[in-house]
Amino acid sequence: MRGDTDRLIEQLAAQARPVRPLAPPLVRTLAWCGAVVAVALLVVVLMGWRGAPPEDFAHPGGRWSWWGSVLAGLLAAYAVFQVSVPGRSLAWAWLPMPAAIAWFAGMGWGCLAQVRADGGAVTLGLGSWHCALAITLVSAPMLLVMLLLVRHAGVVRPVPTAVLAMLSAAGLSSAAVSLVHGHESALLTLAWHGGVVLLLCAAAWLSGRPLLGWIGYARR
Amino acid sequence: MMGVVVRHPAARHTMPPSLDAEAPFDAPDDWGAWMARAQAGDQQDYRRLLQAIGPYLRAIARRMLGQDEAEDAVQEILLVVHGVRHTYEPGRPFRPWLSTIATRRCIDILRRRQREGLRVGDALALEAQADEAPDPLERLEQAQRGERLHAAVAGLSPGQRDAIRLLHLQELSLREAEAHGRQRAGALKVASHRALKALRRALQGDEDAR
Repeated sequence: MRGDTDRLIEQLAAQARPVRPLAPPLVRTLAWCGAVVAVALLVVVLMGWRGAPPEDFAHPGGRWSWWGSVLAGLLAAYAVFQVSVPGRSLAWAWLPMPAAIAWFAGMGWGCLAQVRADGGAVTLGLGSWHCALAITLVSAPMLLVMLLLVRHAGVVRPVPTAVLAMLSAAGLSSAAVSLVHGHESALLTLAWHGGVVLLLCAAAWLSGRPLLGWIGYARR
Repeated sequence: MMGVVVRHPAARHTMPPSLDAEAPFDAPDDWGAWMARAQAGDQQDYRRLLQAIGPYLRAIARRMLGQDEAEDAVQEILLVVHGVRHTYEPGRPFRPWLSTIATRRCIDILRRRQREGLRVGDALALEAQADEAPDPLERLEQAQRGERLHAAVAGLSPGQRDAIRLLHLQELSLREAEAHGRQRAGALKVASHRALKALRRALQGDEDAR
């Protein structure tokens, strides 16, 4: 048995080709931001700019929600690049939480304000479904890129990595889609944004381990 | 880093035997430096590093998995270390990086063992169930034997059937059978003897015919 280990060490040593060490998390987060800006521009080009400033920005809840989603997306990306590396603290996973709370709190505040303005009527149109679908479709390529960047996480912390990666992709997608859904400016659409983000994160929670085991180095 | 052991460069090639036991490990600064050079493609330092971390990994694997699976686990951890060696950032402490990989790998092995244990358990239960149940050929023979016995019993006289039922199926004594039945003890004894002879003949004849 010990002889097998010695032989394995010899084989691995013989295969020691040069590898490029991972860049620090901050550098990787900035590179990720570049990719996100490219995707956001693509979304705006394909779906059409609805004209600034977005109507739901008129209410503080809408502004809190939008900036919260952007900040949560960026901080979640930084947290992903931390927790996915062996030896880094899992406490980094909490980094995007304050921003995520601000995002969802702003969303709730905006929705309540809208319901009060409408005299208690709750209207969630079909266009809101389109928003949820758009967020999912925009998140998918972002998530794929992110998971490829952290495919080594399968041997470390697959589930927190997948959930944070999903939070980052979905948060930034939500912010991007907010800029283009011109026909659907009601604050209540933010509820759809929040709902679909939670659903996507739950899906990442369930599928993170097999997904990163399949993409990455983890031998199951 | 606390408790760092500084060794003479000439002593780096082999680790002291004490590290092979369950002794506490000091993660030498060398390990990180060797990995940094391995990332640049230095095979000699990489071999030195893999040999040096072996006892440390073995201790983790023994603690988490037991002696039997430790060596297999060490080999799996070495493969993972090789696959993700680019994730080590030169200049950072090496031991947390390595211990995270080793413990996560051991947890995955434990999880896999649990899954396989469940599968093996299911298979053994099915096998035991299969052993207890007669196979189709045996079931057919049992059914045929039953039919022959019913036919042979049907061929007995009513007195002989009573004698068989009371003395052999209900296992009553002659006196009890006499009290329950319509025949005297002597008649019961004769009827029972003749019935058994007839049944034996009938069943024996079937066996011979087969």
